[in-house]
Amino acid sequence: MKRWTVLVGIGLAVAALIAACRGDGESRAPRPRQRVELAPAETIGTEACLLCHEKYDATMAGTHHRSEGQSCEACHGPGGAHAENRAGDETVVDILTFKADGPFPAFQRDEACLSCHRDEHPDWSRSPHNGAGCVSCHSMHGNKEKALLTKPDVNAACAACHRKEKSEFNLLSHHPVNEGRMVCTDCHDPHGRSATEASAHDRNEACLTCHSEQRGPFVFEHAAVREGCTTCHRPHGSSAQRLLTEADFNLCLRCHYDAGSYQAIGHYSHRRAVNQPLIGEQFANCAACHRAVHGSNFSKEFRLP
Amino acid sequence: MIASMLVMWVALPQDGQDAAYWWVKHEEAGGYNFVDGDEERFRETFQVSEGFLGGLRSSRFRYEEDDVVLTASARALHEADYGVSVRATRFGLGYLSAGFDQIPRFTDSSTLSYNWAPGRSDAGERLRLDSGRLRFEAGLRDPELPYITIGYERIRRTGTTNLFYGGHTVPNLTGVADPSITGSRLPADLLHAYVTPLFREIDTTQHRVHADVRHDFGDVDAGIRFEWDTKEGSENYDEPWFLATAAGDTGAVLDATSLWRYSPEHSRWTIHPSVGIDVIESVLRLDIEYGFIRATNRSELFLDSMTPAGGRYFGNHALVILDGTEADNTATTHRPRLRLNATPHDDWSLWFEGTYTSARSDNDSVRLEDGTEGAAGGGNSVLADEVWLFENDTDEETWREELGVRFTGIPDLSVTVTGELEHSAVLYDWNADFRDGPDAGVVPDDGDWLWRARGVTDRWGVSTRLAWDATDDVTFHPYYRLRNSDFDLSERVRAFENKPGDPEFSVADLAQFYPGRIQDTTTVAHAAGLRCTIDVTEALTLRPHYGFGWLEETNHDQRFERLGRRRTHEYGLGIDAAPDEFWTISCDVTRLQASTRTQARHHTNSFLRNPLTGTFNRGWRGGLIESFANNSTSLSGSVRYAPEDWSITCRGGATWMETWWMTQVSWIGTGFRHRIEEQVDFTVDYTYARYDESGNQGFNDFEAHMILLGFEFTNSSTEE
Repeated sequence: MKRWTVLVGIGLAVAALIAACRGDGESRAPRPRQRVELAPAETIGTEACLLCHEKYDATMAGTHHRSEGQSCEACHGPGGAHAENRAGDETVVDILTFKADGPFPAFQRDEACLSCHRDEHPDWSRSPHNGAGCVSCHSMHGNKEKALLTKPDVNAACAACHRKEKSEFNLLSHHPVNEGRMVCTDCHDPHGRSATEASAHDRNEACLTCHSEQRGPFVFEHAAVREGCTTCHRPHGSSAQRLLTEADFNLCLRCHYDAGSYQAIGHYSHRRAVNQPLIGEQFANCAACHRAVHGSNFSKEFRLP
Repeated sequence: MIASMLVMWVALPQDGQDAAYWWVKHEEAGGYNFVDGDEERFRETFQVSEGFLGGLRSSRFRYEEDDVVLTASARALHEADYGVSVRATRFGLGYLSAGFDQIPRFTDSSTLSYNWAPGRSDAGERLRLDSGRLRFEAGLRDPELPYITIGYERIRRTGTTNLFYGGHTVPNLTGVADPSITGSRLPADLLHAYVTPLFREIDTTQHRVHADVRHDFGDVDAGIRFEWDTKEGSENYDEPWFLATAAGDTGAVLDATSLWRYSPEHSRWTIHPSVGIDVIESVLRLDIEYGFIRATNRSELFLDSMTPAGGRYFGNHALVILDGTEADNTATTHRPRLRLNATPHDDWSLWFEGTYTSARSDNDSVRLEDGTEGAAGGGNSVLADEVWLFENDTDEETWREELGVRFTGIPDLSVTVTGELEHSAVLYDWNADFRDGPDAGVVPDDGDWLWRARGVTDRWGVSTRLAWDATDDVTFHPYYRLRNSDFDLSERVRAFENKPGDPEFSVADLAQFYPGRIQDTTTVAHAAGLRCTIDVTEALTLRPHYGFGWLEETNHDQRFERLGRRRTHEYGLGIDAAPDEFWTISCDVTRLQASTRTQARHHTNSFLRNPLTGTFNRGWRGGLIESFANNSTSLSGSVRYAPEDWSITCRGGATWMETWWMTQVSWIGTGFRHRIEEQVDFTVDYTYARYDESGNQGFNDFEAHMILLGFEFTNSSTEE
């Protein structure tokens, strides 16, 4: 009942928002796909650009694009033809512009950025963000505080699209992103390959940078670690403790199915240990005895660190 | 001193200086968190303390003059976050940066309600772990010279946290019967119960030094990175044992306390040379890397268990007395990697990556058990003095290839397909030598075991992503991933001798050798989903998303058998709206559903083979939970109205988590901001939060009122 109430409430809210946000009915300009060739033009220098575009003198102050002495034409291309178009005829494409709804396709706009930043982002072609365009996240004229982002900070920039992950940080166990103590880029490279497509080894490296005590090597290693930290953990957030995928020992039993089959393993009845009819099944816990689940030096059953 | 040096460096006279630019933003706040209920769960949920909260929320400063930029930031919140950082950059020369920050992590000590044992919360100790990081970095950025970066980080973690484990009950080894639980499925004796959460004092220090050198030789850029990372310290565990007389009985008695001291020392050397070649500018780039990693892991473990009366306690095999137990492990890894990125046409991008890993680790440890010379009860004679020597050599060889292509030639559509192939073989050679004990030497090699296994994993996967601009206002991002992992373990117990009196090493009807092994298992995981961006109007964007995950583990050791399954669904909607220039609305709702199925309460299709006797028994996977769900719904949103010199924000949200019981965390708040002066804003913020568990006796519940007043000061040398 509660769920339906929430859904109906959301539906009504969306309907109200649509009514409140009625547009003027005009469709947006088609999104360009093909490269737009610019006619050759002369360079005119930054001071000439600022004669008309004075506002950028202030907004770019303090940004690294300004500090490093970049000229406007380093990104926008030679401005001679644009300067001659003083009437401001917007139908004339005389200079490279970066608006997402402008006449230039994303890859062409990105090429201007990559002309300087390619070495910093050698894997950009593999990035799932490739195609969205650099200006989806960055504003080359703005935000002098944080990497020229369009949003106030890195986390807000990512959360604008990654809504599921944003929700996961609301769960009880989560990395302290909402608290401002971590940023998404501590683990992810937005200009590189997707984390989900990386090898287990490469994914683990992101975790082990901080959680180095789990790196080993150990005399007795847990094979699940080789399979990847995400075998057992949900890195953004979880309802279960310690970012675990499950709230109880079912996590272990997904692989160690045999543990419940044996009346006794070693000294102990595991059938009894994992089935607690008297006090409640939630109290059973493999890690109560198998403490060193990431690996052990002294116990092949991970009972000792 | 560092700041003074940086300012002096910045103040060096420059030629052709422009007017200086500066910008500053300063936020101060003070408030109070009123909490009624479980304060520890409040701290864990919001990661702040109850009571006074305030101080310097944020202070940022930027100064620019000609080609020099100085930035500084600071943060100091009472009993929470502290930090300061400075960075001075001189373009064309380099930069210096330094900083320190400290953040807390609060942990709840009362996660589960045990009605038969006192909780850790009764100790009244605040579980808080502080992580402090001090860092320096300097970089040379002269375009004519190699780029050089050197840096140092020191990370100290100190404090107390809880442990995940606990709550397990084991048969009492003293053999004293308790008639109150006779007739249950549990044995008719007492229970020993760990108390959750146990707690752990941590004091570790990590040092990290890195140095990079990189230079551009036209179409070739080459570099090398060195890194040294070491972490050492101690972790002290305090593990109380309670004698629970029966479920529901609150009269549990402290039976013993085990004290652990684990002293790990990890070190890691990394040498990572790399070369990047623009074979054809903007068309084809080749990157070649080589990673050399040498990791060592030395540790000592001390464990003692004492009764409240001060006597030694020998109640459990996992908790015998350990003194002088130490390990020394070394691993060496070589990992060359080659990457090719090609963009032969505006419509095509292709990439290939090949990685080879060769790793070997040599691990040795000695375990000294101080026992009672065979005086333990429960037939557990292992409680005598024992000396174990463990030796494990591991060899890994892994090949991984990845091939990807992105095609954008179809109007409004971008297609990315990636394929991966990995073959990994790991050879384990384990050797356990039972050197000393009550039975050692009576029969040669008693208790020794040698185990040699080769685990071969073959993984392959396919990933597809699409970006489709269906209309000018609607974009779809569907994806599908398939990953198949086949693990095949071939093992050989080269020698295995009984250790008399220890059922773990005896051929007994109910005992099995090494049941933790996973043998010949195939894991298939599918993930598919769709994210949409719908610009309903210029001022309203909807972002619905849906994802489905399906994972299945199958064993084909003896006969094909489906084992565990896990299914996940996630779906939700994000809304961004700006009806006019004053209003901003944002809302998210996401539902996550995960269900796991095991083979509990089912007969197995195959036969369980006792590896010692060779006999087969048809298995019954009884006593477990068949299926388990872990679901959550998260709703959050905000509405902001911002006329010229003031704004008001209303926000709220709730998260419902369904595990063993329903947990609901909800909050609602409002913030008001008023521009008092041109550069000064006044803010006031109020949040009401509620935590409610429908089970677990509700003893984590709390209500909180959080009030915060603040000022923000912003100024700069130019009008923006």
